[in-house]
This record gives sequence, structure tokens and C-alpha cells, in this order.
Amino acid sequence: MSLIRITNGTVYDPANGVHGEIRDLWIQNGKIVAPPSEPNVPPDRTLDATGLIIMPGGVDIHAHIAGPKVNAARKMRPEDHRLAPPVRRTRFTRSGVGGSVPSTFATGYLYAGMGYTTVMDAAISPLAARHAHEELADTPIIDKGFYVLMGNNHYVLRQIASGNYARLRDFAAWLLGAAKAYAIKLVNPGGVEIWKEVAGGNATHLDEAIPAFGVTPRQIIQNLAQVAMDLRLPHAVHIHCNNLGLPGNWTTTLDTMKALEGRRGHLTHIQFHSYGGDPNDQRTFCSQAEPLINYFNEHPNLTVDVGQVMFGETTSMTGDGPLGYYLHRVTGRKWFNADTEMETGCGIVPITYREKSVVHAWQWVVGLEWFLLAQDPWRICLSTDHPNGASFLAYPQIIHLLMDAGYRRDMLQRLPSRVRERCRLRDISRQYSLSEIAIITRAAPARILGLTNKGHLGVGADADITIYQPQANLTEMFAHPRYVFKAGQLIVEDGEIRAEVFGKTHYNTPEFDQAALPDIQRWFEDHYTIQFANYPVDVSYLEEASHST
Amino acid sequence: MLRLSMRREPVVPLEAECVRPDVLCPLSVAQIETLTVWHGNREEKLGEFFAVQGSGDSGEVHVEGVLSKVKWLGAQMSGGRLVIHGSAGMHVGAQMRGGSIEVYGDVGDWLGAEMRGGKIHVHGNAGHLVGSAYRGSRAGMRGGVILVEGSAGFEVGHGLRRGLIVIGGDVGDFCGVNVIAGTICVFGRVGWRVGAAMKRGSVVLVHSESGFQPLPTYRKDSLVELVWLRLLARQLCQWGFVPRALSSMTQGTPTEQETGEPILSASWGEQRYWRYCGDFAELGKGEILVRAS
Repeated sequence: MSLIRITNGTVYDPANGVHGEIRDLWIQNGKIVAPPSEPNVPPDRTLDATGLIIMPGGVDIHAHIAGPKVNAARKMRPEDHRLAPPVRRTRFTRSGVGGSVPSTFATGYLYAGMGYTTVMDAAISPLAARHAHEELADTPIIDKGFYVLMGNNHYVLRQIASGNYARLRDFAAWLLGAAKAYAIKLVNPGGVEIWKEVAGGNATHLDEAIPAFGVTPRQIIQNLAQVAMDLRLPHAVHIHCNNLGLPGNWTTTLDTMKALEGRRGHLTHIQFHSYGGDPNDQRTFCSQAEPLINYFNEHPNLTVDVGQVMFGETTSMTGDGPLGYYLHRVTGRKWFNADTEMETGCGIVPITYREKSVVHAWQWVVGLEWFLLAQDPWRICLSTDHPNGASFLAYPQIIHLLMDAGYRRDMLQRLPSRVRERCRLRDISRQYSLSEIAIITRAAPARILGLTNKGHLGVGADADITIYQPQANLTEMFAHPRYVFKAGQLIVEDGEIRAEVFGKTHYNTPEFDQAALPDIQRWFEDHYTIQFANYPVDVSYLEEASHST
Repeated sequence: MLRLSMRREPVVPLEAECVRPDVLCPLSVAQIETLTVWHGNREEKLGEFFAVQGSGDSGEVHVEGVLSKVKWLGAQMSGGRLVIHGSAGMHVGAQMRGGSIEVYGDVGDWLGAEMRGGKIHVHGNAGHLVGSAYRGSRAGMRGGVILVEGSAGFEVGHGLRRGLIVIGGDVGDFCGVNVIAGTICVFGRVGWRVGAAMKRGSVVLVHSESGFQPLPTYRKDSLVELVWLRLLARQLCQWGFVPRALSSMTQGTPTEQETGEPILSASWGEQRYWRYCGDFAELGKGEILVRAS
């Protein structure tokens, strides 16, 4: 394959200690290669990047882009698609719809157009895995994968209840392989199952037992965190804590951090879990990010993504069934709810984040406090929990807020005085450097995910490269990269898609003791609506997939 | 005055979103003829379908021809006057913000859907979903006036948020479904489930035998005479609104030209009405006023 040289660009590759140095990059066979040892080897193509900024392609550690939940939201929100700018067919691309839940093809184009080349879907129930893979196969350009929901799975709960850790570990390994998933996800561990058993129920703290199983959220978190480590999964257990969005939930989040007892754990959309106040009184809502950040700073076993809220119209979608119901009650907007057999729940509600709302203003503040007070950028990732906090299309504006304290202050000025005057954010003058942005948007998520070929530009890395034109308006700069390469191919030039390629699906199939299968099969055939043999996703669904372990 | 006369009849629906006074009037005839319209999935020029004459100085546009396949006439307009001679297709005046539309003929579905302001006066019948919310939206019409002298179809004023809809003839089922606020006035007969899931607002049924059957979530509360109904009746007379359901009752009476006065008395506004309140499955602050016989 042809040899490409990108010359004279200012390279930000923090994983390899490169912080804004002028370098040449060489690409061959979709990978970054060392410069030819012979000095006079002519490249087949040279791209002059003088004055431009080069970073690895963006990596999104937590978004909702595929599967029945996303599809239900698409069907539920025709008005969102109608009001969004249309995604028209071009010579290279298909048409689609935008908005907070874009169609599959549009999702790929919009991410790539913004310089993101790897995206993980955060919550797929095993039963929905086949559907999710079908959609990911229709999501162009980006590399992708998903996390499989286990925190409310009946078989998991039964093994924890009986103390059979080895069987739990084998089941988790089997389930990852059956779903062709990348990591283990917990969503409101135990809480969704309580909601399914008891009208209006939920897990309000870590030691509230699920009636039918006698298992607590604490046990689920500890066991599955251990499983992720024992199976040597590249990514730690991915935890959506209990009590999302409720005032006063920060204590639950702190308990979750402590409950890990030194095990690795990734706490996702941490912004939604850092609130103070009385759970029964929205008026007492405030930020308690700081004590959590202090604990986080001192415990290197923890990683987080933020789940920043941005003002405007979006769609909340979650495997956290009781949360969907709560939002429906609070907002009065239309609501979708689902119960996925032995596995999980689901809730979808449209939401409009308003500057004038004290609660929404606090949410915006809490996210930024996390970004700006967390000391180690290698353990924090940029996310909006797309589309829950905002669409992924808001990332450039969030980067702008992080890099420009003046812009941040201007936006803070528009918020209610109760928030403006009491928040810690107004005293923070920290501004992110381009290197730090490169860390939280690509290097750190790739490292946290254990994607060794992503998020850096060292020799052997995938040639996923984003090249920005420096501009005074940082939102513009990050929204419209000058060039984007995916696997060594020029995909985006001046904001337009130049070629449609398809990325890989990443998944893990850890080894497990085959002796566990008969029991799983027996349980399955007693309880499920589909045949055991029809459940695992066949590799034919993922012909392009890269097998990562 | 600009005049657009149909030159070629579209075979499949023609999406003519550019036909609105605020867009056409500042342009020259040659510019207007090169504006884009969609004929099915083909992009074509407006001049292919319409011959354009005159100038837009007066802010007035007249469209004539067999327009029943032409969609989006006057959609999103913010000013000026659009007069349609003939029967127009779907989405006439959808999302309009200002100005006025007068239609001498019938119109298709989605008349004035999600409109924000301005006035639409249709002398014929309208299709379904007059002044409605598009599917998925929280609110339909948010302001302005829609007058239809003839009948209308199902779901008149679906999700109405503010403004006035008057239907001079009969309406189909679900008139005033999901109304958030605003006023709907119907002179003819109504279908099933009037005011289902209505939060606030008023539905007035002027016909003493409208066929109204209250939903079980409505409660009959009082017999009322309302000042605002008199004002509404007088205003409709001033607008020259001739509801078909009433004019059929007054056949043989002298015409407006002969008397120099509106033929309709505003007396319906002075009558007594039964007030039903509901919908108690929702907020329950809405009312349906039914002419007492």
C-alpha cells in the first residue's frame, strides 16, 4: 500500500511524550510507520501540514449510538430529526437525519467530520447484541464496539447470591463472547431489578438488597469489578452508579468508589452522580463534586468520564429504567420504558436543558468542576454521555470552555445568580492546554479502554489522525478539522467526507471453563423467550471485526 | 401584484416551499422563475410549472391553477399576502409567522400546522390536522388565526397551544385532541372524542345538534352566557367569515352585496351554552361549550 508522508505539522501525541513538536508522520498499510531508513525514499503522497495541528483521531469512551434503545429514541423523536440540519446524500455518502439521535450512517459521518475515529456504545443488553451489531455494521468510518449490561442480569444475581464466584466469572466471559462485546457494564446495579420487582422501587443505597435475590448493589459492583480484572479485560468494569441525577447522590457515588476497595473501576458520566442536597427536594440541589474529586485524585484505581451537560434540546436514554420514569415525572414529557427479560430495563425521555433552570445550571457547573479540579488528565475523559447530557456534536464547544476561562466566565454569567454565586467553578482559572485536550479526548480514553493502537501516533499505531487548522474560535477549530485520516486513508477534507470506509468492531472473547455451559443452557431454556442456540451472535455478523484478545 | 399561473400540472406532488410573499416579492420575475422546487425526487425550476407576471411591490402574490398537488404554499411565510385561486395541496401556511393567506378553494391536510402567527382564510374545505402539531412535536399552532368556511377532517387543532381555529362546517373525530390552550370554534357537526386529553383552552360547538358526545372524563358543569363569545361572533362577522353550516340554514336571504351588511347575525354568540369541563385524564382546565337547544 502507498506510503504517505505528512510533513511539518505541529504534533500533539501525549502518549509518546510529544507536546506540540514539529514532526513528520509516515503512514503505510493503515499504520503509523517509522521514517524510511533510506533518506531518499519518495513517499507516494505528501501532505503539507505546515501551521496545522496534528492529533490522534478522537476516542469516545461512552456514547449511545446503536441498538434497540437508540432506535426506539429515533422513532420516538421525529420532531428532533425534522428540526435538525438535514444530512444530505453526496457522491460518497448516504442521506440521513441528525439531531440528538442521528441515523446510523449519519452518526459515522458526523463523528468522523469532527475528527473522532473510535466510539464505544455504552449499554447493550445481551439480547439486543445482534441488533446492535447490525447497526454498528451500518455505522461508517469509525471503529466501534459496545459494553454489555450485566448489573441486573438474573444469572449474575443468582451466582452472587449463592457465592459461586467461579461460575459468575465463567458466565461473564461466556456472555461477553456471546454478545461480542468489549467490556462489562453496570447500570444502576440492582436498582433496575428492584424497579422491575416492586412498583416505583429502586436501590437507594449500596446495601439495599434486591428482594428476590438478596443481593446488594455493593456485592454486584465488587464481584463484577473482580471479574473484569480476573478475566484480564482491557477495560475495567464500566459503572453507571445508583441514584443517577438525584440530589444528594454524591454519597452513593463515594460509597461506590470505596466499595471497589482498590480494584480498577471506570465510573461513567460522573457529573450526573456528584450532586448534593435532599433527594426529596429539588430546590436543595447543588454541587458536591469537590469531595468526590478529592477522593478520585488520591485513588489511581479509578477512572471517569464526565458526561457534561450542555444547554439545549436532547434525548435522555438509559438502561436505568427507574431513572427514565423519574425524568418523565419531572419533565412531563413523553416516555418510553422497556423490560428486557432477565437482563435489564430501559427508559427514554426527551429533555431540554435550560440556562434558567437552577438544576440544569448546576449540572453544567458540576461537569466543568470535574474537568478542572481533577488533577490527572490521564484518568478523565471528555464525554456528554451522548445524547443524555448533550449530543456528541457539543464536544468542540466543551473543549472551548475548558481552554478559555473568559468564554467560560461569559457563559457562567448567564446562569441563575443562585448558582453563579455559590459555585466553586467561578474561582477556577485553570485552562486546558492542547496537550491536555489531546489527552482527555483521545490518549486517555484509548489507554483506559486498553486500545493499544488507538489514541497515539507512535510507530505501529493505527493511522487515525485528525489535523486541525488553528483558529481564534476554538469551537470552530475543533468542529471542523482540516483533514481526518482513518486507517491511513484521507476521509475528511475541509469538513467534507471524501470517502466512505467502514471501521472495525472491537470485542473480547475471554477463555472460560466449558463445564459451566450446561447449567447456563438449562437456566436459559427455562426462562428465556428465545432458543439458547440462537442467542450468541455469530462471527458472520462481524466479518470486519477486529478480535482484540 | 405578482401572479403565478400554472403552466404545467405536476404529475406527482410538487414541493413549492419558495412560494411565499416574503421570498418572492423582493425578486424579479426572472429570478422567481429560477427558484428551486421539488417535483417528486427531482429538482426543478419554479418557472417550469408557473408563468410569473407582475411585480411584488405591493407585497401580494396570487397563485392560480390546479394546485391540489402543490404542497407547502405559504409555509413559513412571515409577511405579505398570498391569495390562492383553486384548491391547494397539503401544508398550506404551515409554520407561518405572519401575513395572510386567502384560499378560494379547498386545501389538503396540515393547513397552518405549527403556525406561529398571521391569518389564514379558506373559503372551501380543509383536510385533516388543521393547525396541528407535526408528529412527535409537543405543541401545534402557537398563534394566529385559521378560518375555514367549509368542513375539516380529523384532529382539528391537535396540540393547539395558542390562537384561534374556526371551522364553518363539520369536523371529524378527535377535534381538539391534546389541546394545551387556545380556542377552536366549530359550526357544524363533530365526530367522536372532542377535546380528548385537552389541558386548557376552549372548544365551542355552535350547532345546536352538533352530535357531541362527551367523553367520560368530562363533567357537565353549568349553563353559561359568555361575553367573549359575543366578541368572537362580532369579530368573525367583521372578517367576512361565512360558516357553511349556518349559511345553508339561511338560504334565500338577501346576499351581502344586496344589503351591504354581513348576512349573518352574530346572534350565536348571545346564546346559552352548556359548559363541560375536562379532560380530567389530563389537567382538566379545558372547556367544551355546547349550544343549549
